[in-house]
Formats: sequence, C-alpha cells, structure tokens
Amino acid sequence: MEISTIISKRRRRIIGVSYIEHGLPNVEIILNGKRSNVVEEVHNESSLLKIPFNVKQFHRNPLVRKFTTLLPNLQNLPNRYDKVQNANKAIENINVKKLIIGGGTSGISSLDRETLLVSEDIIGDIEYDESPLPQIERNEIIKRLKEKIIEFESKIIKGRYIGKFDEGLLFETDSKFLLVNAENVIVASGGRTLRPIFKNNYLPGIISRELYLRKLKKKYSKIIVLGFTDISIRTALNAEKATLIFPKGIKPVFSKFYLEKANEKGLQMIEGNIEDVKKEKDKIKIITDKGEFNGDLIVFSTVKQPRVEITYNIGLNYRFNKTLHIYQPQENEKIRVIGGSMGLSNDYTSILSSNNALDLNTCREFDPGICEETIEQSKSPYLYSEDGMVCECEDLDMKDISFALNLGFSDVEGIKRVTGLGTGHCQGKVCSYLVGSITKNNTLISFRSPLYPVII
Amino acid sequence: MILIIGAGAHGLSIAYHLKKKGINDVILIEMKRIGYGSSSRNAARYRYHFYSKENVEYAKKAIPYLISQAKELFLNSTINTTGYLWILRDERQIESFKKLDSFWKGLGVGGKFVKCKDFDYLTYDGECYFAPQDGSFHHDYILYSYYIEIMNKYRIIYDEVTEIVLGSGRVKGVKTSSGKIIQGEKIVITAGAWSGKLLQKEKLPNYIEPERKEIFITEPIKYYIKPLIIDNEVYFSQTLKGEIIGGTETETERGFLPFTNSFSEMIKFATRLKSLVKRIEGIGILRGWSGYYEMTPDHSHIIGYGEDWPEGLYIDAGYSGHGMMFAPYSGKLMADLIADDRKDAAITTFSPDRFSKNKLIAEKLVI
Repeated sequence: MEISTIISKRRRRIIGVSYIEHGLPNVEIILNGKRSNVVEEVHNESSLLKIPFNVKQFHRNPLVRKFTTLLPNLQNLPNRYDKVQNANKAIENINVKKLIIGGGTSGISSLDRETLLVSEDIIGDIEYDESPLPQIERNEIIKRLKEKIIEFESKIIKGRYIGKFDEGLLFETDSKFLLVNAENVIVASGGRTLRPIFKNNYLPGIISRELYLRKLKKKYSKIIVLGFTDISIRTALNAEKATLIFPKGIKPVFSKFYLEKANEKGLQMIEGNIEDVKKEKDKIKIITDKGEFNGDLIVFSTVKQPRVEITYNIGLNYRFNKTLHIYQPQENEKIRVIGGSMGLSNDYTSILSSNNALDLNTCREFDPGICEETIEQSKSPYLYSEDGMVCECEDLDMKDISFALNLGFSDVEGIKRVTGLGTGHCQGKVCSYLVGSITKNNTLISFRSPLYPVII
Repeated sequence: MILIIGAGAHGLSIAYHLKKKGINDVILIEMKRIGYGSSSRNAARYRYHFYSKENVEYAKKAIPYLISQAKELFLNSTINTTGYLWILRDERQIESFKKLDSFWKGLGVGGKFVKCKDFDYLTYDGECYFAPQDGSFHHDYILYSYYIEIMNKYRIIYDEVTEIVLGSGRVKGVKTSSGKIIQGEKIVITAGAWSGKLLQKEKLPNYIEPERKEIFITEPIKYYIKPLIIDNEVYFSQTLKGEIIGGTETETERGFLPFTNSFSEMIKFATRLKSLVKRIEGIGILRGWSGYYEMTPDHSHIIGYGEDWPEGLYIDAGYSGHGMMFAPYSGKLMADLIADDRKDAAITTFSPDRFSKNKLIAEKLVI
C-alpha cells in the first residue's frame, strides 16, 4: 500500500499516516537526522517492542512512578537533527495596508491592488475535489482564480504563517522570514478534516479527505467515508464506489443540493457505531452495529474544521458551533475571516463571503449550520465508539482522556495539563478540537507562536 | 472563613495543607484559571544552590519536602535528580564560583568543578561547575495534584479580587471585579506577580514587581541533556518528553507586559543553544510563551505578614523566579501559621518587615 507507517512515540505501535498538511501529525518525521516527508516518500516502519503505556498507569502505578526516569529511553524519538539547507534565512520587515493569509478560493477572490497575499498552498482544495458545485461551474471558478493569480502575481508570496510576535506577523518562505505589519488582515486559511475516534482508528488505510483527494484518489476507487456533512458526500462523489457512515445519534447536516447528488449516485448512508476495523491485505474492513463494510480505504470527512489555531494566534476569539461541532472565529474591526476559516465548506459560499455578499438565506441553503445553528448534536460527531486514538503525537487514547474526565476535569486545558494532550509535535492542531467536541467546550487551548517548528 | 487569593501552586498548596488539618471553611478566588500565572509557565526545576544563606537554608527544608510530596501526591510528578551545570567562561566567573563552592560546602550542599567536556554533548571546552543535588519535576503534576485534592472540598470562585475590605484594623473580606463581597476573617495573598497590586491598594508598600521572561521549547530529541545548563545569557534543560526548554537573560522593563514572544528572543535562544549543544543543528523551535518573575527588591520571597499589617492578612508571594519549587513547603508553613498560629523561624526571616528593618536577603542567583 502506498501509505507510510511510522512507530508512535510512547506505545511504539504502528500508525498509518493519514494527513497531508504540513504540521499535522506524522506528515514529516526525522529519519537518521534528516527531515523526511513521508507522504511524498513512502516509508514503512515495523515495531519490535510495543509498550503498554497509558496515562493512568503512568500516574498511579507505584512501579511506573518509581522508575519514571527510565521511561524516556523507551520513547521513539530522533537522536539527532542534522543541519538543514537554507538555514540562516534573511529577515525582512514589510508594512502593508491589507494582508490576506491563505490562497484558496476565498483568499484569491479577495485579492486587490492594495493587498499582499501570503499562502503556502495556492488555489488548493478546489483543484482536487471533482464533486459538482451549486450555482457555478467548478472549472469556471478555477479559471477565474488562475486569471486573478496572473493579474496579481506580484502581490502573492508563497509562505507559511508562523505566528504573531512582538515585531509583527511572522511568515516563512523558502528563502526568508517576513515580519509583516498590516493595517487590516483577512484570514482565509481554511479548514481541514480530523481523524474521528473508534477502535483501531490508527491502522494504515484510514486517511483524511485531503490526503485522499490530493494523492490517493486515482489508485483507490472503493472507499468508506466517515462524516455527516456536505463534505462527506463530496468526498464520496469523488470515488467510484462509496459508503458513508455517521455515528449513531448524530443528525446529519446536508444541503439539499448534495443530498440530491448523493441520491443520484445511489450513495449508501449508514447511521452506525464502529465496533472494530480490520486490515486484510489491500482491503480494509469496518465492523459496525449495522453490519460489515469493505473498502480500499476509510476516508474521514467528518466536517471541515476551521484552522482556529491561526485565527486565535492572531488574536481572534471563537465560538463552538453545536450543530457542526466546529469552532468558528469571531471577527473584529481589523481582522476579517472568510471562506473555510469561518467554517464554509462550499466554494460558492466561500466566494460570496470574500465579496461580503453571503446572505443568511444563501448560507442556510448551501452551507447549512454555518451561519446559524439549526440543531444541537447530542454527542460528538467524531465519536464512533468509546475507544481509539485521540492524540497522535503524544500517543493518547480515549481511555487516557477518560482518566482525566473521571477525575472531574471537563475543560480541554485541564485535560491537557493532566494527560499531556496537545503538547506534541502538532501542538494540538487535531486532538484539542476532538476533545473540545467530545466535552462540548467553548474553549480549546492557547495556540502559541510559533505554530510550526521554526529552524533558525 | 479563610480566603486564598490566587489558585496557583502556592494558593493550592496552602489549601491542600489546610485540608489536611481538617479545616472546612476555605474559599479560593482565582482571576483566570488554575495556575494561570507563573505556576504553569515555569521550567520546573529545583535547586539548593542559591547565593544567600537564607535561601539555601530554606531550600534545604523545602526541596526534601517537595520530593516527599511528589511521592505522595496523586499525579506522577516525575521528580528527577539531574544537577545544575554552570559554564564558567572566564577567570572572574571561576573565582566567584570558588567562593560559592566553599560557601555551599559549608552548608552541606557542595558541588564540584568539572571539565565541560565531561558532558560530551557540549561544544564548550573549558571549566564548568556541577551541582549534583538539584533536579527537575513536572510543575503541572504538582499543581494539579493539589487541585485534585481540594476540588471537591473547597469552593473556587473565578473572579478578580480588586480590594481587601478592612474594618477596625482587621480584614473583613474581599471585593471582586464583579462587585461581589466575600467575607473572611483571614486572607492570604498568593497572587504571584499580581500580589503587589493588592498591597498597593491597601496602601502597604508594594515590594513585588512583574518582570516578563520568555521561554521556548524545541522539537523533541532522545533524552540526553540531563542537568539544567546555565551559560552567559542563556539557560536550558531537557524534559523527560524530549524537548529542550530554556530562555535567555535579556533586560526587560518591569511591568505587566503582554504574554507574547519576540522573534528576536527566539532567534537569540535558538542560536545560543545550537552553538552550545551537539546534534541539534537542524532542530526547530516548537513553541514559545512568556510569564512573569515576581521580583522583590532582594530577589527573595515574602511570607507571613508585616508587624503593622491589618490583623488577619497574610502573604506568600514574590518568589523572583524560584516559586514553583518552594510551593509545597511554603504552603505547609503558611497553613501552620494561618490555622495554628505556629510561626516557623523562616516566616520571620522572610517577612515583609525585612525591607523596613534593612535586613535584606541579597539573592543574586536568579535563574
């Protein structure tokens, strides 16, 4: 299979790589001192020694407590970090009137003469997601975006937002660090899907929508999609054959447009909990309370979760959306939020939002749940069972989270402090949202600068 | 009713020790969240090696108590004897450590001069001073253990205390920013860097000023740097999880600066760290944050009360960068004082009266 497998940090179990975005768990690992992108270059590890680590044992087992200082030797960690090329980057200060962070559909649509746009990824998801769009032709949007990119070529810089510092907003490009001071900021940094929770959810072959669309769509045509929103259907529409599963008790939030598309395709939709997952050669089997399903891959597409770590880091508050279980940033006078950053998953509504032309009715119809909450989910739509991995970097499972919950901690910050959740390589870009959704919290953790490791 | 202002390590430790005594009426008032101030922002190290005799003597009681508490408390505090290592760059530094060495030996906590090369991951080839008795722990696990012990026993009110209410020479309660008045016969200020604000409000001399410090951690690497290492302008150590954690010595103005980081400090830390340690040329900085050192004029803590203070008012604050390691022991002393009126000799030594009586405890080793 063309999916990398790596050894986890504390339990030393084999984890299948599931993301493609820079900074998410196990996209980049250190191999013999070198940084290696294991999505680009497939790498397989096997684990000889598995460690039965869990947080409860760590805190409460007298023997573990006695020998705690020996534990570091058991962790799977790099033993060196070799020098990287283009270290010692120059630092440049820039003042601009308007700054756009993010170069997807909404970001590019917002470009004008007074603006500087910085983004790691130009155009982005729309080029890979072949599902139809309402009101407009997908290819027409791509064409228009490309024209805009040519028109404003000098206003676009390829770079990554690193975080807010005393000196300004820091970006890293291939050749330098940019410290930008802007009068107004538009955040168009989009959203992403996150790995839901169920038994054996770390097995190879369970991947994100983004990895599927960008890398594996052509090779694997029969998939099981996990999710309850429009993007779940859209993922399924990209595959030849798909089954969609959402957790028991979750009320799906589909627009009329995509529900019709799903029916046209004959997409099977199951409301069920996942009891187990089994890997069988090149196939993966999912066992639910509604029966067993087979596919080449399990593609999680629960909901497009805005990258709130970016908006929070810049200085925006956010609120918890009880319908979609997403965190939505709240704008202020100086910082606007558009497109996927506000939770929108549809390119049509995204473009409208970038032109300040998204009205409530259109939003309701084409991106339900975003502009107003319609229902309250009784539980987390990420939760397919009470077992499974939650924090990939620090190797924490649902039972580790339960240890903290049982002690009386109900906020993500408290759970983090007791279990170490979100303190690993990705700094909580996945697990804090999952635990926030499980506990229905209004607050996540403090997403501090730098948001991604910076090599100086 | 005993009111504790501030649910950080010191406030929670006092509460824990009051609970042990079977005291029922305690309320904690917290401005933000558990450990919001310095308790969740420190580097979690302990040491015996201070500049002043008073602080060494205090540490000789406080550190063994920290270690015994760590064994007893609910969460695994990961106590680890690692040592502190000072890099001595010139003759002047070597001379001053010779004096410190004989001073520490006299107090029973002597270290030794070593070649820096003995620590084979260091690039510096010269003299070092190693203090083997010092070590590390996990601050959150101490803090949250105390919290777990008291969470179902005492009430915690999340509100900011704006004023201590007095009447006929004694405390009556506190006023909060939401306009509430909470009554209490005894009030202890454990508000860390914010403690000075409350003293000022009562027209008592304000001896506590915040000084912002920045701290950074790297990506994790296999555990190999055991001691806390102190060089000119930079200090660092490694956590059991593998990150290298540390900061720089940079002059900053005092005051409540925002909890942000500067890119220049991050560069300074990364550059100094990489020039000193092998195998990490390409390591990335993973996260930064900042916090306040709660500085007093002599860089030593203030505990107990002043002679001319209103009856029933206590303080336990001003630790100037070494508050976390002393929290368990200070909490015990303070609980003895508040509940049983038992006054340990250290309470007199570290009382706020030392400033007016000119009995300062000049502490020069602030790390």
